[in-house]
Amino acid sequence: MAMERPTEARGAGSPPVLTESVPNRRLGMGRVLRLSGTGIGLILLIGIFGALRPTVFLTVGNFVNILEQISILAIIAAVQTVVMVVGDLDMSVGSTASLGGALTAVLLMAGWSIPAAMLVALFVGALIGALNGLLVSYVKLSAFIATLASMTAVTGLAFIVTNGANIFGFTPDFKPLGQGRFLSVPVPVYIAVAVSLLIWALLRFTTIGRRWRAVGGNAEVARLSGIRVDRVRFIAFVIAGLGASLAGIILVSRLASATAQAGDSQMMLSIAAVFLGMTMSSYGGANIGGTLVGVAILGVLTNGLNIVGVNTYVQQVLTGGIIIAAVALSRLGSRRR
Amino acid sequence: MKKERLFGLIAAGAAVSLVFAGCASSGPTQSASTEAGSTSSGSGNAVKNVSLITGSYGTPAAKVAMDMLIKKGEAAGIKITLQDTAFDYNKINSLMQDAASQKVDAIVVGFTTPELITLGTQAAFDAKVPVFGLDAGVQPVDQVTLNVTSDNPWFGKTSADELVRLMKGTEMRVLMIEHDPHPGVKLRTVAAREALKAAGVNIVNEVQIKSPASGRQEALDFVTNYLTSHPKGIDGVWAGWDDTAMGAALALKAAGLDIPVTTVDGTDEGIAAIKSGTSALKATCWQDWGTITDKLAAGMSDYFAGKKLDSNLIKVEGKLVTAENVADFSK
Repeated sequence: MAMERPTEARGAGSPPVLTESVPNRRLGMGRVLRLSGTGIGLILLIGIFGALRPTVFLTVGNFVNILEQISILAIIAAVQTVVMVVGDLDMSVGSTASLGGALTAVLLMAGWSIPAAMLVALFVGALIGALNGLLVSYVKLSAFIATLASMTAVTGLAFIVTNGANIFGFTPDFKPLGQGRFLSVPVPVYIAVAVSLLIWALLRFTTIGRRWRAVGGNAEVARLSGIRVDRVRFIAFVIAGLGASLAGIILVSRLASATAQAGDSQMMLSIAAVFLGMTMSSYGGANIGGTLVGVAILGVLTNGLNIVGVNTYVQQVLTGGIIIAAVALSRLGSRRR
Repeated sequence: MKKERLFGLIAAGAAVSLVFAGCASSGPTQSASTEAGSTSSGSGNAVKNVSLITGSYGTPAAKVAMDMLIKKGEAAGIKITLQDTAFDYNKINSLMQDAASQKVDAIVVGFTTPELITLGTQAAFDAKVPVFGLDAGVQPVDQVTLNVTSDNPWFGKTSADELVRLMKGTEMRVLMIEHDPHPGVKLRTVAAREALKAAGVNIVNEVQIKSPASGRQEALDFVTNYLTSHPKGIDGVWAGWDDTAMGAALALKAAGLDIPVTTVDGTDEGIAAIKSGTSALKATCWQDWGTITDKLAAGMSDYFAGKKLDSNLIKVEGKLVTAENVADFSK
C-alpha cells in the first residue's frame, strides 16, 4: 500500500494548507460497500418499510412528511457537522435552539416585528456560539465540558426568558415560516436545504472550510502551516450557535408555541446523525453529505416504525441499536485496513 | 499565546460576572439549599421555612400551581423555596432527604405519587419533618400530613366521556397520547382508558410521549404519521395534557380533518384554542389550582398553629371546559 507524502493545497491568497495524507488505494468493491454502507442502510430501511406498508410508506405525501419532520434536525446537524469537522463537539445546540425560539416568541408577543425578533434571536445564538468558541479555543477547555456547561446555562436562560411558561398567540404572519408550503413542500424543508448547501459550499469551496478540515485533520500541522487554529475553531462554534438558533425559530413557528426546552432533544440526535454520516467518509471524518444521510436514517426510522405501529420505547431501543451497529461496523471495517 | 489565553480568561470572567449581575430576581427561586428552621419576621411571628420539591416545574399547569402556592405561602408567613428536578422524579427522594436533614419546617412535594417518594417520605418521617403534597397522588398516605390534589381520575374520566359525546355517530376509534412516567398523567390516562372502553370505544393506538419538553412536537409528528398510515382511521384523540393535545390538533388541522381532541389541564393556551372554535381541541378539564393551593396553604397554616387536620387527603375536582362555557374561563 503506497503512502503519499503530505501535499500542499493553496487557495487564492491563503497560506498553504496541508491536506491529510491518505493511502493511495484502488477503490475496491469492499471499500465501496464499506463507505456507502450507511447509504445502503438507508435504502434498505426504505425498502423494508416500503415492503411492510407499501401503500402508506412509499407515497409522496409520506416522504414530504419525513422531510418536514427532519428539517429542523437537518439544520442543527448541519451546523454540528461544522464543529465536528474541526474535531470538536457542541452539546449546547439543542438548548440554543430552545433559547432562540423562546426569545423570538417573547419578542413577538412584546410587539416586535418578525425580522427584528428573529435578528435578536440569531444574534444571541451567535453569541452563545462565540462563548463556546472562547472557552474552547482560548481558555482551552474541552469542547465536551465547555458546551455541556453552556447547555445547562442556556437552558436556565430559556426558562428565565419564558418564565417557565408556554408562549403562544403569535401574529399569524409568523406562521408561514414553520407551517407554510411552497409548491406543496413545507417551507422548513427549503430552509434546511439552503442551510445544508451553504455549509457544504463553505466546507468545499472556501478558505475557512479548508482550514476547518485542516484543523480537524491535524491541528498541530495546521498551526505549523500558518493557520490560526484558535480563530478557526471559534468561527465554527459561532456558526453552530447561529444555525441552532435559526432552527429554534423555525420550530417555534411550526409548533405555534415556545417552551424553554422545545429544542433540547435535537442535540443528541444531531450528534448521532453526524456520527452516522462519518461512516460514509473515507477518512472517518464528519461530512455534510453523510450527516444528511444520517438525518434521513433517523427520520425514516421514526416515521417507519410509527407507521408499522411499533411502541415508542421499543423505537428508542431500535434506533439506538441501529446507530451502534452502523458506527461499529464502520469502525471494524476501518481497522481491517 | 499566553496573552490570548489571558484575554480569554478575562473575557469569560467578565461574561460570567455580567450573567450573575443580571440574575437578580424577585420571583420564586430555585435554590439548591433551603434555610433550616423558622426565622423571625418583622412582626415577631416566626416565618416557617418550607421546601417545595418537584420534578414538574417545567410543565405550564404545574408551574401555575406552584407559583400560586408560593405567593399564598408568603402571605401566610410561610417561606416556600422551590427545588425542581426537571422531570427527574427519582431525584425528588434525594432532595427530600437533604431537606429532612436540614430540619426545614415542612416539605411540600409537588406532582408526584406516593410510591415514587417512599424513600424521601421515610427520611422526613424519621426526622419528624411533616410532608405535605400538592397534587401528590389520590390515595391517603399515613406519613403525609396533608395532600391536596387534583382528582386526576375524575379528570381522565370526564375528558374521556366528553370525547365519547363528541364522537357520537362515528365508529368511535380513538388515539390516546400518554406519558406514564408523569404520575398525574398516568392516573388520568388509566381512568380515561377505562371510561373509553366502558363506552365501547375502540382504542386504535396508544402512544407514549418520550419527553414532556418535546411533547407537542412528538404528538404532532406521531399523529401526522398515524394519519398517513390510517387516513380515515380515527374519530377522536385523547391527550394526557394540553400541550400534546395542541400538537395533535395541529396535525389534524394540517390534514384538514374535523376530528375532536379532548384533554386535561385547562391552560390559557388550551382554553384560547377552544374559544377560537377553529382548533381541533374541543374540550379540556380545567384544574382548580386556586382552590387546591388555598386549601393546602390553609392546611399548612393550621398545622403550624397546632390545629388538628380533619383529613390528610383532599381531592379537588375541576371543571370541564367546552365551547359552551369557555367564556367563563377566558381572561
